[in-house]
Amino acid sequence: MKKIRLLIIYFSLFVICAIVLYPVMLVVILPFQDADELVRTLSPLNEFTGKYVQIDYIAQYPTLNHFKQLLVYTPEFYRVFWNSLYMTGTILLFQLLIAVPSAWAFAKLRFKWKTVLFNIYVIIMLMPFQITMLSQYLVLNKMDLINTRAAVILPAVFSTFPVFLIYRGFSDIPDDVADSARIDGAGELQVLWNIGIPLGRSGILSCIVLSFLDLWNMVEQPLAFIKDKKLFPLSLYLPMLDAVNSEKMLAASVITLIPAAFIFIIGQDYLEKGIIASALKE
Amino acid sequence: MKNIARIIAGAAALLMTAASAGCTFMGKETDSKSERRGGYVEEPVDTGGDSMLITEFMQKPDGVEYYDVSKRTLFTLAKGDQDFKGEIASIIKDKIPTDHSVCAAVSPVGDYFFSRVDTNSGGFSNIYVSSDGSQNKIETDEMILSAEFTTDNRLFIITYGRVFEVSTANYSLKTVCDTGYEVRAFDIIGDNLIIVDENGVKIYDYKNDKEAETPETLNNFFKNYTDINYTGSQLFDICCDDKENMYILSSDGVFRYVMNGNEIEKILDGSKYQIGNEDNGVNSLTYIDDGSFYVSFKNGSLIKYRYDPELVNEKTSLLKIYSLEDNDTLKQAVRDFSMNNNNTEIDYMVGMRSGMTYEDAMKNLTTQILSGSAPDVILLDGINIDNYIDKNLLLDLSGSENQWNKDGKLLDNISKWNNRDGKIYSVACKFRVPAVAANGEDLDKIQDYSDIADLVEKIRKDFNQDYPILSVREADSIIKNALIYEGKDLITGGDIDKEKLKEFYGNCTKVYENYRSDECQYWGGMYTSGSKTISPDEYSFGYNVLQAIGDTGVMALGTLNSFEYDINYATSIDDYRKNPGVKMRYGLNTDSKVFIPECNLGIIENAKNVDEAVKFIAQALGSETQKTDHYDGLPVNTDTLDFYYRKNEDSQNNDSINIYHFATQKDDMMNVQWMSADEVKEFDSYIRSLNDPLYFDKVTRDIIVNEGLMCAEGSITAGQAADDAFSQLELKMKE
Amino acid sequence: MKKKIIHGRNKEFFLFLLPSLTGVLIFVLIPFLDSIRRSFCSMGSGKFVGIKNYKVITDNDAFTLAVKNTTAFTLCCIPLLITISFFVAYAMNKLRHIRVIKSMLLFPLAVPTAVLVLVWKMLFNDAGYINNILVNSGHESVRFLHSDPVFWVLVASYVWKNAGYTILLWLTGLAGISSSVEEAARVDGANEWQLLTRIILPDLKPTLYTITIVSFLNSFKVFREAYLVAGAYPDDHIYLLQHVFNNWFVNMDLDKMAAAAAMVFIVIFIAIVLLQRAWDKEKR
Repeated sequence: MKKIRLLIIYFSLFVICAIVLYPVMLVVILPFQDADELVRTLSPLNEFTGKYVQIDYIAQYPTLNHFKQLLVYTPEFYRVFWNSLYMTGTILLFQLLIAVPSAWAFAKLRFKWKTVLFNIYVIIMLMPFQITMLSQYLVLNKMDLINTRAAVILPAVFSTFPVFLIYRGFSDIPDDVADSARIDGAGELQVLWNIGIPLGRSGILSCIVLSFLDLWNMVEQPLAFIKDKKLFPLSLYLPMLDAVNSEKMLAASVITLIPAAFIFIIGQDYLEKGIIASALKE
Repeated sequence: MKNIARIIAGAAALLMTAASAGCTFMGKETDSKSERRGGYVEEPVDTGGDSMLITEFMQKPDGVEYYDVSKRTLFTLAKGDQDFKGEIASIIKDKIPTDHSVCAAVSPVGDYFFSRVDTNSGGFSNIYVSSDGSQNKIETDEMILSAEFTTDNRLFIITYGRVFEVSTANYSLKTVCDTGYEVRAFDIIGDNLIIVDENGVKIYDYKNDKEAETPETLNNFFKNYTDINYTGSQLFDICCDDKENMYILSSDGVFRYVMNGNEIEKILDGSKYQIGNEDNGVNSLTYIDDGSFYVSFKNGSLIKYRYDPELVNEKTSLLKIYSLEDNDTLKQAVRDFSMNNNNTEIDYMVGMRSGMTYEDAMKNLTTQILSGSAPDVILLDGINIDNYIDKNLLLDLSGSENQWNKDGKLLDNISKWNNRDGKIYSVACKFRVPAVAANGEDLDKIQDYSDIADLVEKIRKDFNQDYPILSVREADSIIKNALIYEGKDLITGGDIDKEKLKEFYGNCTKVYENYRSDECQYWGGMYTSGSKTISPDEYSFGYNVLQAIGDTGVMALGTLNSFEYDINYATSIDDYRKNPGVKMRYGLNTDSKVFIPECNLGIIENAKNVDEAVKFIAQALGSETQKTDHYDGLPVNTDTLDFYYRKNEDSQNNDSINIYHFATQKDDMMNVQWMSADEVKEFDSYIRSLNDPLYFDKVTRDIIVNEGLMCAEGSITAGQAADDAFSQLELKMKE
Repeated sequence: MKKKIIHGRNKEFFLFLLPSLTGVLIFVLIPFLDSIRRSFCSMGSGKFVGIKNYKVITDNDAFTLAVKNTTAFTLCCIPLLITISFFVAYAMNKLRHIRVIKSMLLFPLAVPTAVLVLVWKMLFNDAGYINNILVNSGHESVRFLHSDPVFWVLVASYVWKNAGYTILLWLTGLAGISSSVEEAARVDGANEWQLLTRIILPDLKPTLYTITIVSFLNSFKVFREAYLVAGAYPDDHIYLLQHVFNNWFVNMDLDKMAAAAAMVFIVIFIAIVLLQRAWDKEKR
């Protein structure tokens, strides 16, 4: 009985995974197809050809040409990639530096107005960008930061999203563990460093992964605050390619996926270890 | 422990505040608006009548030379002289035809090189004429775009992507460089060839036959120009002085680069001089030793830019001008205004430049207005003017009318079309008039656009010719053109009529499917006038009328946008012998009083510099600026109109134009005359009776046209297109 | 002795929080206050007009449509996402060797929006792949992107994108449930259903709270896809709040924007407070 149950579960999971991965698979296999094959897939989208979109799942003439075009003949790609990397890396680093202490304060320390302040943080996190965009623009303009990468980096660094995620991780840590350290005379920073971070690893890691994905693909902020094409990140460069050269864009998006995949495959490992560790502690 | 924590946290906070404070000081431009002396004065040179083409300036040790192709004269400016002296090049007199020359070059020892293109057959030939008179042909695979001699009599020529050296011994070609990309500029400076293409610049040392190193700054400078549309002629000219400075000429101005330096400095701002006039592009630049320049233009004119060290360049005020898209009339006004008002700094910004979308441009403008750096003058074409008026964003100009309409020499019905209970929020500087031309009987039957659609369908059925019934270059011009005639019916009083929209799309589809057959080989070709390349679009009535009288089964739609290229053609067709019965009419039907206002200027309500803004508008409406024809609308200044009306008095002003017949594949000439006195009277009274302005903002127009294009192509039915367009417009109105 | 420690805590919280607070103040709160100020003034003249702007937007058809759509969308997709991902996570929890699957689940989130939109167009366009299949099997083609179904396309897009990490969050929560309690309950004879409702679900309340908030956050991000697929004036059913904001910005209706922003803030504030109370009650 149990075996059949297990089989059913495996099977339905398989189906679900297939559905979930279908679009991703499309994105990955299409750039390897020849331009002529892709015409059948892409041209009905741009103009009326009387035909429907055809998708060839197995490329008849697999080619690396699009990748070559992108990596060898498009120097802007490297600049744009570096912009993304730089912005995402810087933001992530400072987000952690700022959010970890704040999350610890919300989770473990008691002070007046804590709930209200935390609620305000959550609301800020939930506000769609369009609402705060104009006001942020004016502030950044007064600081003369418009059209620099700092205009995107600074507001993102203070985002309350990481605070929220890490807070979740910290609030799972039982209070007595921290209290015993404090009674032993440890300063708050030491408590955070020696106890909070190791135990709250799952929260921090989930924050890194999600925040990375968020930043790597962010579109609205650079679009609003940066005018100079040289400073665009990869996520804005892709739509620019779409209009002209869908094949290149597909190739570029595969390359975009690689760092993301990298991050969460690695993060996955640490995440697991963290969960096991916290389970053991109990 | 606690202390360390406090210190760290305090340092972090300090860092944050320092960063934000530092950022405030960072990036502030050093204000160099302090009094600066020295500037350039524009002085046209009398070349004794229109020249066809002034080629490269040739810099020799004892002066500067240029060769005038039409006059076959070599002009020399010796060092220390004030004027060019011409000397007819006797060795080529009568030997080389003057027409169809693409380029010519003169060598220091008196050799000549010509390259000739036959525009009819597309064939080209190149001839080398030695100083002793002997001629030799030079064979090339492709048309030659440019040629230059070095100071030691070596000849280099370039085709699309390759640079050759022509041996003066046996006239054979040796490939020097194969860039693979379009060459955008080519010059010889000292011992180096300078080749500019899409990727930047290459420097080739021809004396030692190797590539030289390209300075990074120079490379980046040229690379930045890759964003600009390439119109098919060289974008730059380069020359140098005796101190190793390089000067680069483009329509943006003159730039100076010190060899191997880090900066490229703009020493002459093109937008303030004739250099920026893209209707008459710049050709060549040369430097003379007192710091002045000569610039030759594509229409044959020659201008000296004399450096006056005492010229006071102090800018006492700033005028900010904004337009969504490029507008030639506005650019002309900017040039004229800055020449007449030396002390005003003009900041002209185009919102939708270099790939920015409409939404981005509008958001940018909004934030500019909010953060206190709003423009003073704004070109409202494409913007929802009603919206701005409702928000009190525009200044009422009726109070200052005595300044911008001093002598009352404007067509009030046209320029003041946006009149609300006596308040004027915008003035139109130019306008277009719709017109139709078809065979006499057919023309009489046309009452509205559905008649036009039926007529196109009928012509296709009757003739099924292999040339187009309407000549447009882009398919969406059909829809835009239909909008000119039927636009007024679609949106009345702010309400969209879905039924009319569906009928409209049905008509568009009819025209789209029939205006050219699938076997048709011909597309609306581009044509040049002066140095400007015009692509026939929804407004090109003149171009279409020329096609209409060339063959049967062709009709003309569009608007009258200029005298020379629309009205003159349209009013001269009656005298053309071979006219197959085509007649022209102003307006869609005899009752139509529609006109399209163009170049609508307004002043932002809280503008900082209202006085100069009003002066600017006066300049744009004044006869000096209105007189220059940019083919983007007829002038509203009545003095200018009179000037054009009286051109019929001088028979020298008449011209002739080539008419190509698709059916016989032959061409002949038609006489083009300015309007006769009677025609003038009819035209003038017509335009003074116009009272029905047609104006769409960009978003509305784009919605209607995009749905129409999809419907015409067949992706969706007319009903679906009407539904989609209707729901989009409805949403837009609700907001 | 205890008092001393608490006192120390208070001072330190302030320093821990200071950097974050400063940034949030400068870049978010103060600009937002300015926005509120602007909501009480008129756009062109800057004069104080009281609550006129609020009245204008509540009367505005486009705004009410957008609010209706956004609420419908949120109420539709968030519960859908949470329940689907929970059941999948619950099932997956029973298996071993799911590491590979777990890594793959995050891929949808990594796909850039521009490409995702291309894929949706490929599939759902009037001439798209799905219509291809429909027509070839004898059905009529459906205008997925330009009529009513577009709402469900957007919901599907949302669920597809966010299911992955939601499942992961559930899994993390499930893994945190002490297995010993589970064992004890099983020994006591509890069946699957009782196990689920009495032991597991209550323990997952914190996880549910996080997931709800994050899902809510991501439901706003769906605007990007809607905008790239259908433009600034899409079909009535997916005309969302952000569309209104975007278009008001372009048209310089900044006073309306400010009033609407304030209203949205209040609504979310109330929602969060209620959610917080509900969660706290359970905790107690």
